[in-house]
Order: sequence, then structure tokens, then C-alpha cells
Amino acid sequence: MDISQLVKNSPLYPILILESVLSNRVRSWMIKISGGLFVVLVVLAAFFSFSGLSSLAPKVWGLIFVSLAFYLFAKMTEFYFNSSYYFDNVALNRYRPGDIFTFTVGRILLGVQNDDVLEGFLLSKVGRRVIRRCGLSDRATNEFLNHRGPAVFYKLPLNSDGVLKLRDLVKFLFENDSAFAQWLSEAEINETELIGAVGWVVYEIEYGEYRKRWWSESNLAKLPGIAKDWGFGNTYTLDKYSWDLIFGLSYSSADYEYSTRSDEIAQIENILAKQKEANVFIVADSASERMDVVWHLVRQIRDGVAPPALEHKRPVLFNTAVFLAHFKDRSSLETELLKILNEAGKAGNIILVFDNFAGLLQGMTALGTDFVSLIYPALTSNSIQVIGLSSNDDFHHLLETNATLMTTFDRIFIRPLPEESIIHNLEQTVWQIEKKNRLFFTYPALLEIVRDANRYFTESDSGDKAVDLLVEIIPWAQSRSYKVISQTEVEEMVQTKTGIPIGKLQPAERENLMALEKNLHARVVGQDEAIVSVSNALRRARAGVRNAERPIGSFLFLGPTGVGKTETSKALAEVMFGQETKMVRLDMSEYQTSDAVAKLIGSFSSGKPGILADLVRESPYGVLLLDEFEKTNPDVLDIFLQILDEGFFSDKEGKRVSLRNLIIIATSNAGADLIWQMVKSGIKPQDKVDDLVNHIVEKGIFKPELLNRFDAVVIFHPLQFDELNQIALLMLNKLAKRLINQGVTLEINDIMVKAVAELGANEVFGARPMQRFIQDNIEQQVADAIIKGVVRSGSIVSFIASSNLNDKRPQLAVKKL
Amino acid sequence: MRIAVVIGHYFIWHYGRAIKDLTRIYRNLIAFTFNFFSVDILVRSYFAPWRRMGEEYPEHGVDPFDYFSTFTVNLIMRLVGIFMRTVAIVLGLVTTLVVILSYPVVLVLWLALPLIVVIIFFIGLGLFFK
Repeated sequence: MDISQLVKNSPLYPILILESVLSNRVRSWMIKISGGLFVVLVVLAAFFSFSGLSSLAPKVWGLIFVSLAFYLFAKMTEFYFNSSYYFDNVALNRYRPGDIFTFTVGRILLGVQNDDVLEGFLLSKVGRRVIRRCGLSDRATNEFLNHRGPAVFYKLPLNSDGVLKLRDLVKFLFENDSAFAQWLSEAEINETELIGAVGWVVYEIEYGEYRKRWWSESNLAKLPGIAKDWGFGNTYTLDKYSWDLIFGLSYSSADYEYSTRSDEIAQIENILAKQKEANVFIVADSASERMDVVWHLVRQIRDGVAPPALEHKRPVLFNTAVFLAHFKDRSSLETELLKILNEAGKAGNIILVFDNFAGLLQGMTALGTDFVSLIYPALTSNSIQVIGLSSNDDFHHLLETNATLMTTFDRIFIRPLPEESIIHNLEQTVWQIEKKNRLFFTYPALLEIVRDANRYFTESDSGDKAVDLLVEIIPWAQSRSYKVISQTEVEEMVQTKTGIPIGKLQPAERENLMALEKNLHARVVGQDEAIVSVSNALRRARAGVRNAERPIGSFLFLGPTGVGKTETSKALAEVMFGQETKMVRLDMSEYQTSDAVAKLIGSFSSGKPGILADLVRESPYGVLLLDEFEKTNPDVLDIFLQILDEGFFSDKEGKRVSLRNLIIIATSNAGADLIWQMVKSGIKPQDKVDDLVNHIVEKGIFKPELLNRFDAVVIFHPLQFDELNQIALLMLNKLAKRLINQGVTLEINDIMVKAVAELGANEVFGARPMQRFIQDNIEQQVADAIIKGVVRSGSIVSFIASSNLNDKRPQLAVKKL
Repeated sequence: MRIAVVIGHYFIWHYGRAIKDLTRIYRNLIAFTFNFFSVDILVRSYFAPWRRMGEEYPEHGVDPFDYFSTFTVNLIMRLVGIFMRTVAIVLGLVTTLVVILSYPVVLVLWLALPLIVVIIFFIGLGLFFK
């Protein structure tokens, strides 16, 4: 059976024809124009009859009747279209026995010419919408259709199991038309993204049609009635500090949201429907997630679908901050609170929602009030229900420890939303954003937002952070005059925000990565093997090969002091994250004692925050340098087992602290003696990494499982004379740069370089003392000369060998005053 | 030919399913009107004081004057409540009745609508070209 015959046999055929002859838009215009014309003509007729121009009146009346006939005709076709079958099919997903495809698919099939279904889909309105949501323009679609070669004909998957939906049709086309799949693949759209975009478009259509059905029972129930609260009391005092949530719902975007928390809502309703002690703590870290649950509950009450015990209840949000700010002394505060509770109890329909229950408890305690005792009678009565909102931290610290509260309140912990629900929430939020801001989001952009929010904004598990990121993109995009937000724009924004390069490699970044060794060598002298090892690991990470659930990179730098371990870390921060300050440093020798773990991750008993936890929360992107790693307590090393493996640890409150966006570098002098021995015996330590690792394990410095968790154990060998000379030159160049700012030119020569390398460096501390040597012997002489006035702005200075043969330090020579 | 299919189907809908839908919408509207004026709640709380206002009777000792004064205040509140509720209930019932009574009128109009549209159209043309 060909497609046109298939469409003719469908019960949807008449309304599909109507839609193709008089589309929704045309009908809507007909109604508006004929209705408007009717009103204008009636006014005109009235004017004519009063002004005495009665000769024109019959013509105007004629037009009035004609426009009325058109108006009624348009309305009838609209009613017919909507209620004959369209709403059942589209808004309610109800099908008739003879249905083999949905209305949306029917519309596509009706437009199909020569049985070319792909063309029919791509040229249909809904098809264009789907492809635009995939990030491809109408022009790109037309070009594809013109150049795709001969059309493919296939048998549609009808009559298999039920009704063919748009999702099934597009999936079928993707799987069976290789040119279509190839075209999308070249645009980096995979099947999941395509089907997701279809789902989004279909959801938008269905949701819009559902809301149009004002006469449905559920939509009529949303309209507020009168006299509902006449049987309940007034709450004048409470109203001063609170906000009626049912009233607020009409003015809030929360009414627009889709409920993804039906389990939690049902539990809360059951608790609140109890005869006594119908109180509940809603615990979640994100304030908006807590309120989201409350909004859903309010909506249920307003729409009349809550359990009978909650019918006609009035949930009010008590503003803790405003209430506490009103009172300076205890007695007036207590009196007012008792008045509020008394009023709420007498009113008989109040659900009191405390936005920050722990804050109220703390604030009252600070004023010397026993809040729990005051509120206890209300909590145990059957005339009032209380909802307390709290973060996890506050709940465990301040509320859970109070036995009275725990016996009078039930607890609901809001679980993190699954990814599909977060995407679903974003889809709805985007409609509002697009309307208000004239922006267009593609579906891959939405997925990227969810992915990036999870990967780069790890401070909480909340689904809210994806919405936050979405909202942040708006001003960012507007400031750059972007109209379409695709995956690339999201990546660009996240990169700007975090400093972490993500997304496709840009040419400049590609060059930087390819020249990583060279760039690192601009600051680090020698240590070729170490630099290559680190560079390779970072290139692997950037190429997307890395595991996203571990740190970007983790390295153990082994070697004697002063050979460039720290300098390499700084250079990495600069090269990878754009600035040296992106490196945070912890001296692990400060964490040797038994309380080291508590110091680093915080202590629940003392309530002190952890240094590592704070440091990582403040600087979640960059390089974390753990100096003298071997000196720390073994318990601390055990924590790093988890960090290196999974990229996070749990702080004192059990909150996850993520290190997945950091390069972790641990430096250690462990095995430095063996490295020295190897170098003296002419062995390259880099070739004997295994021997060195065995040596460290045998000595019990690090456990093998810890060493295995690093991406690479990198050996830094002692510096050779040539390398010391290069370092001396680098350091002197830095000094010269600083002097140029004073207007003094420092000419560097071999005498200075050699003196710094020979006299500054030593076997134990490597190149590290050279800086001190420069400071004491070069900088000091220049500074003295500047103070004496011998050297001033415009002077050129250099250093020569000392005239005193016993003194090898160079002496200042002023070349130009 | 295609249009003929639509016209045929339209009339089947107009005199079949549309009447069922109209009846269902009317049912929804009646329930909505009843609910909008909260008739059931008002009947259930018919004798309750207006917005639960009132005074509490003294707990200790019986001072006839205090007792009478409280009784009077509470009685007035109940009377106010009864009066307001009666007004709302009557208003609600009248509105519901109007909605119910409008159903046959609307139904007749609906049945005649295709004819009315044609007649209006031709009357209009007749007047215009007169």
C-alpha cells in the first residue's frame, strides 16, 4: 500500500485534510480578522444611524452579517478540528482502534510526495523544528535534500506494535537511510541527540495543546473560587511575616514546571494528612530544590488533587529573616510568635512553611528563647501543620540533634534528580527563556549544559546547577550578540568560567598542546623525560581519552631538592590554565600528626572546616601541588588513595569535594639518595624508574597501591652544570626585567652566569639557593648603587670579576651613568 | 473530492460526537460553578461563625454578664456567617441554574448553527447588494 492510500484509510484523514487546506494559523487569522471586522462594523453602523447617513446602513449591515458568518464558520472549523479528534490524539495521547500513526506523523505523511518519507519529514513544519533543535539550519536541510542523491524507499514500520509515533518514524529513518544518518553524523548529531530533539519538540506541542483545553476538568479546577476560606479564620499577624503560596502560584513560574518528584510529594502528603504531629522536614542542599517540592504540593492543593485531609488548606511561607529582623528583645519576639501560632491554629487551614527552620531556631536561641518549647504545642496539635525546610548540613548539625523535634517531625530527604528529569526541567525552562530573551537553544546545547554542570560544577548533586548554568548563559550570550546557543557556545561559556579548555580543540590550543614540551621548557631547564611524560599525559587527557571521574592528571614528582619539581608545576598551571596563580600549594610536612586528616578534611566534632576541602572549593580548577608528600601522615595518604582513584573525597559533613578538575602533583624527595647514587655511577635514573619505585616501597615510604594510582611517577634528576648555567641565565633575565622597570639596564655576561651557577647551586639544595645568591650578591650591589645615586634611571650596569682573587663574587660595573 | 470528505465528516461530528462533547463540557462547567461558589463547603459550615471570629467563654467562675457578652458576640458572628453564606449559596445555585438552563438553548442553537451560518451569510449578501 502506498503512503497516500495509507493516509486516506486513517481515521485522521479528514482533519489532516482540513489542516492542509486551512491550517491552524489561517483559521486563527480568520477568527481574529472576521471577529475584529464584526466589532468595527457594528460601531460603524451605530455611528451611521446616529449621524443620519442611513443610506449606507444596509451595506454596513450586510457586511456585519457576512463577517459574522465568516467568524462562525471559522470557529466551527476550529471546534471541529480541535475536538473531533485532534486534542485526544495530540494532547492526551489517546488513540482509536483504527489508528496506525499519530496526528503529527499523519501530517508528515500527508505531505509526502512520491513516497519519499525522508523528504516529507524534513520539509514538514515539525521536521524543520526537530532539525533546527539539532542545530542545523533550514538552508543546510535544503542543501542536503538537493545533494543527497536518489531517494530511498522503504516499508514503514506500521502495524507492528501499536501507533507509529514521530519518535519511531525518525528513529526508523535514521537507521534505514544512510545518507540521512551520514549527514547528521557529519554535523556531530548522534541518534540519542536526534531522538531527544524529537521528544522535546513533541513535548512542546503536546504541552501547548494540553494547556489550550480550558474546559477540561483539571484546567477549570485551577481557577480560584470564592468563599473557600470563609469557614476558616483570619491570620492578620501571620500575614505580616508570610506569603500565601497559593496566591503566589499564580504569579510564579513554578506553575509552569513539570513534576519530577511525585514520590516525595506523595510521602509529604501522607505525613501532612496525619491526625497529629503532621509535620515534616524537607531536607536538600539546594534552596530551590526544597522550594520546588513545596510548590508541587501547593499545586496539588490548588488543583484539588491533594488527599481530602489537605483540601482547602492554605500553605503560607514564613519569612524567617523578616521575622527575626523585627525584634531586638526576647519577650516581644516570644509574644509575637505565640500570637502567630495561636492565630494559625485557630484559622484551622494553615500549613506553615518555614523557609529556614534551622536559622529560626538559631536566631531564637541567640535571643535566649527556647524555640522548640514554644512551638511544641503547635507541633503536637491537629489544627496546624508545619513544614521545615533545611539544608543537609543544618539538619544534621542543628535539628537532628534535638530529640523533641525528631519525635514531632518526619523527615524527607530530597534525592538528586536523575539526568532525564534534569533535561526535562531544562526543556521547559528554555521555552520561557527563549520567549523572553529571543534566544534559541539547540538540543545538544541542553545536553552539554547538563554534562558540564555535572562535570565542572561539583559543589552539589543538585539538578539545579544545570538550570543555574542555563540562566548564566543568557547575559553571556546577549553580551556577545549570540542568537543561537549551540553546544559550542555552551562549551565556550564554561571554558571562560572555569579556565578549563573543553569542547573541540581550537587551533591555538592545538598548537599549545603540540608545543607543550617547548612551552614548559621556557621555564623549566632540562628534565626532558619528566616534561615529555607530563605532556603526554595531558595530551591524553585533552584528547578526551581520560576518565572524567578522575582528576585531569595526577603525577608523583620524585627527585632531590631544587631540580625543578615545583617550577614544573607552576609552568603547568601557566601553560594549561593561563596563569601561574591557578596553582594552589599544600606543604604536606605540616600534616604529620595524628590530627592531620581532621585538619585537611575538617572535623565533625569540632565543627572546624578542612584546609584541603576549603582550598579545593575555592580553587576547583587548576593545579594542586602537594609538596613533600612523603612527610605526611599515613592516614592522609590513605585519603589520597580515593582521591587519585575517584577524584573526590567526603568532608566532615559527608559532602563530596571534587578534585576532578585539577591536575594533582605530589612532590617528594623520597629516593633522592638513590637518584644521586645512580647519577654518580653514570646511570640515568629515568631508565630505572622501577628500581626507584621498589626502593621507595621497600623503605615503606609509599604503599604500592598509592604509587599505582598516579598517572605517572616522574623522576627529576640532579641538575648538570650546563643546566645550572641555563637556570642562572633565566634568573638573571628575570632580574634584568625588573631593573628595566626602574630604568636601569643590566647587561648579563658569562662571568655573572658562571658565578651564579657555581657559587649559588649546591649538591643538597640544587638550584634553589641560586636565587638567594643573586639577591645577596647581584641585586644588593645594584640596590646600594641606586641608593648612593651612582646608578639611576638610564644607567647601564654589568658585573665583572672581582679584583680580589680570593673573592669569586662578581663586582658591579657601571657602564653608563 | 478531499473537501467533500471533510464536509461529510464534519456533519457526522457536528451531530454526533460534538453533542456528546458539549454535554461533557456542560457537566464540567456545572461542577466548576458549584465548586467556584464553594456551595458544598458553605453548606457544611453553614452555622459556623464568620471566619471563626468569636470570644472564648471564661474558664473560671461564671460571671453572668461576661458569659452573656461572649454569647452575644459569638451569636452575632454566627449570624453574620449564616447571612454571608446564604448570599453565596443562593448566588451559586442561581448561577448553576442559569448554566443548566442555558444547555437546551445552546444545544438548539448548536443543532441549527450550520443553517444559521448559511442564512446569515446570504442575508448579509442580500443587504450589501440591495
